[in-house]
Amino acid sequence: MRRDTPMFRIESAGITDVGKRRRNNEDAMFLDDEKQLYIVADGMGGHQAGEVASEMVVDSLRAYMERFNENAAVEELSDPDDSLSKAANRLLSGIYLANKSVYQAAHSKEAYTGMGSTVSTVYFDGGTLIAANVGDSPIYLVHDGNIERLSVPHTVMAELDSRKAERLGGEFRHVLTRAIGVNETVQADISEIQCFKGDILVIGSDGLSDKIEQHEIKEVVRRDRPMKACRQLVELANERGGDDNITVVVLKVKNRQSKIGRFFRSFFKG
Amino acid sequence: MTEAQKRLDNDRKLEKSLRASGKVVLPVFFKDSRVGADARTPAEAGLAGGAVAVLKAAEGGYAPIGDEIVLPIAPFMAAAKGIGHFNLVYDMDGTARRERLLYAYRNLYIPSYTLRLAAAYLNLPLDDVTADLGAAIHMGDRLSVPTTRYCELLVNFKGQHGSFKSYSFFDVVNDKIPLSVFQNKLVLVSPSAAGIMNPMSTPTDPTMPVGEFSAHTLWTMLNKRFVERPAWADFATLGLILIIGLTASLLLPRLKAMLAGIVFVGLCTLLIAGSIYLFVAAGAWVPTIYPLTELVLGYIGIVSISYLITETHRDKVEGESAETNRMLGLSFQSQGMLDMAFDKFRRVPVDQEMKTILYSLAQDYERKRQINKAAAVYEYIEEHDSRYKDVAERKKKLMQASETMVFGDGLLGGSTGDNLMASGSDVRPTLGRYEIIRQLGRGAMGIVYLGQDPRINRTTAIKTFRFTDDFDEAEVKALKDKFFREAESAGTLSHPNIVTIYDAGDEQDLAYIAMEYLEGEDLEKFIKKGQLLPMRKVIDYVADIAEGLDYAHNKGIVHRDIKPANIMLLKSGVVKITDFGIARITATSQTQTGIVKGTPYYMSPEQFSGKKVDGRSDIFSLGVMLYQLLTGTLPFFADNPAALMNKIMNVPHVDPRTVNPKIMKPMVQILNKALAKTRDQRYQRAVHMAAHLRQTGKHMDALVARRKTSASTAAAVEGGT
Repeated sequence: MRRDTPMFRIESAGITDVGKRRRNNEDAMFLDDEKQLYIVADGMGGHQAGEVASEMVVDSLRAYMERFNENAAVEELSDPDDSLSKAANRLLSGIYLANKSVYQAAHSKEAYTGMGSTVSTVYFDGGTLIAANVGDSPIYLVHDGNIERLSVPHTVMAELDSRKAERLGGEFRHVLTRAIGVNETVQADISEIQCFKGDILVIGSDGLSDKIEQHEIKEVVRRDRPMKACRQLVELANERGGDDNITVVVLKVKNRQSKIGRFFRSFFKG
Repeated sequence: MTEAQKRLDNDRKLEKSLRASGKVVLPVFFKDSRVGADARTPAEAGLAGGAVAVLKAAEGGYAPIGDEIVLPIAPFMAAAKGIGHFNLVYDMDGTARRERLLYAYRNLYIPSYTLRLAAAYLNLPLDDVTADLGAAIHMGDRLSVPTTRYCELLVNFKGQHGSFKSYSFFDVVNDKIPLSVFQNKLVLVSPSAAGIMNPMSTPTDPTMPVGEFSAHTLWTMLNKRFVERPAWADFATLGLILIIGLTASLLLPRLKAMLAGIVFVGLCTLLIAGSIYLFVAAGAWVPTIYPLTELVLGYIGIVSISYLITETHRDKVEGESAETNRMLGLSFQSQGMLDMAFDKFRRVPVDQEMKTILYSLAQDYERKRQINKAAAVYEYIEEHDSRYKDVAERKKKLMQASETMVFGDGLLGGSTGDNLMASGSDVRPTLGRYEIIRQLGRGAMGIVYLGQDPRINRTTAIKTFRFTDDFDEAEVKALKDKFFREAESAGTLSHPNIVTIYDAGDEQDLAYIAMEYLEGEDLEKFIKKGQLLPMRKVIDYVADIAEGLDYAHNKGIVHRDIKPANIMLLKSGVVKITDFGIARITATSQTQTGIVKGTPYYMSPEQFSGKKVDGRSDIFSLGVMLYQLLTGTLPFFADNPAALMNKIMNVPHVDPRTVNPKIMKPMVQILNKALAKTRDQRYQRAVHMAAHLRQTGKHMDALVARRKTSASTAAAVEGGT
């Protein structure tokens, strides 16, 4: 089934930065305005394992979602959730596939033991936007002047009540309760909501959310175009320490172009 | 002494010739010297006569200044018609494009050699040549030569090398050239030997002799082929630079690569062609070299930058990737996503390990009966190593097999052959998670295979159903849904006399049910006279079946197709009902075409009248089967379905005792009740029929026991007396 012509056009930009303290960048991201699929993954594990994990997550999820556009017969989840749309089920299948792949890879080599990753992804299907995540990489939605977090943080800190959470030391704030590649199966959180012109989505890694408050993010993305907003947010995060890799993806929902608009746009790259 | 004398003699000769001709113009030359020679040489006295009068000066106009002049000797000057300077001037790129028509020396304006010649050619006395300094030089009222602000003429070249006829001095002096050639022409005599006078670089000829340059200059003047540098030329150039600058920095980087290239070539062509056209057609010289350079450099810059960026990006992406791709591919393969796996494997360099992996992928495809894709993988391996295992032969075999196929991607189509085993592959095919070992038989609805669940090593029977291609996508989906719902409900049945269903699934357009594998035969074998089972056994079996039916009816499931072919008698002596509910689906799918498959000897009257059936319909069918098992004949028989329907609905069955006198009365009663045309008059529950049968069985046993004892008593009595 070929994808119908999308209802909205997405203007996107993304930057991933190694930050100031780390030696390598274990974040990975993927943006595709045509397929309207956006992924951010924050990898973890010794040596290069984090990079490999996040790359595998992005790669497998992307490859899986691409199959549908190609009109190929693809395996889907054996028990799809009937409360979700077909596209949402597919996204989940893709995440579970990615999880299995990373899990298997982590058990195949000594160097990869213990590797894992978060994943946060946004996919547009018709007039709905589908946001899914495993881990603590945030997905924010700016709508009507308000910013809210669509993703569910799978961290020990978030799942404890506030009193206990405050007592958690710095290192424990980032302990994940769910991650890709750690167990053979994983449960992702997913939400499908109506999408409107003018909505702005921000997908990031915790390098972003740790340093910048939600209202600050809202201000920046409302004010500037995606690329500029990304740069500003990365700079700000680095200014405030930059001790983790920082990844920001900013999506702006725009109207579908007219045929003429698309004709002219087809001359331009990117 | 003689040398000097000779010279003087020669001079005198030359002077004489000059005077005789009266048409010779001699060259003069300006030298750059810091200190202008103060003293006037005797020859300078006659210089004023050779100067051009300047009438007015245009704003900002001025002539180049000469510091020191080199003149011919006074006698020559006096004998010549006139003089003109031949100072050359080159542009910044070392090319000569212009001629300085005037030079200011002291207070005099000395014409260029070419200017003087032109005036002479037009028979104009020098007095009639006046200058509008910085704008033009007027040759009387015949010709006005436009000049730059610096009194320069832009030379328009007549053409390429050889535009003017030239003759070797040697030839002329030795009378090899007829003098008529020179009649009425301007003749320029100039040295051209290398070393004496080096050639000049010009736009049309990089090694142009000086004389030819003068010729072009004269041609320009006399033919009025002036090249103007229009006032707007500067603005135009600036404007172009600006436009090109904006285009190159803003537009080109944003365009797609191919389009940017086209735009670039287009702009270059426009610039070059435009300037040529203006030059040739309108004599206007608009220097486009700067905008053109800017464009070329800008474009090269853009292309390099974007190339470098994508290259480094690609490096980063590809660096880690081979390993990641291999791992992802293996993962996908293990999860059954073979296409995605192959996609990833293709990006990994093919070493020995990869060949093994790819080989196993091909075998996985074979198991899934995707023959073309399996062949493609073998071919891929073959490309890298044709000797690896048996890839070449396998590929060949598979491709041959695929050519004989009629339909589809891997399954043999055709009306009779949908045999999974004939795919040309010797790898066990799989259907869902079951491995197919061999064909067991052909059922009414499809082929039955012997299969194995590899995970728990359980042997199962796999019944396959093919949804015919008569249906469109929606209908097939509806049928499949129904199929699985029925299989699901049948799967809930767990009874010693009902075949257990383990699993149901579908792959492509083949649906299957995995069920208990039974070793035995169906009752079809025992329905003919002479092959009948013992009556006592029949009673027990049918009672068992009735109990099984009752169990199912209580769960709300009706069989709908009770007949001997659907009852299995195992080697162990147990009877099992098969094909619960499924029969209905496949029957529906087949009656779509309007053909009734098989003859409905066992169908109940209400089934014909299209009423909703319940358990009592099964009881009727069971009754028909019981009749058959006891007598070897059918209670209702006709040649055609219509007559049969009539009999079943309206004609009472023949008393079984007429066929088999051994049948006892209770049995007849049971049969009559089971075969009641109105279902309200039948057994309402199968368990009642079972109870009745068992009771009858007990009576039979009692009778037999009594006969035996009486027989033995009789024997004993007989024996005893």
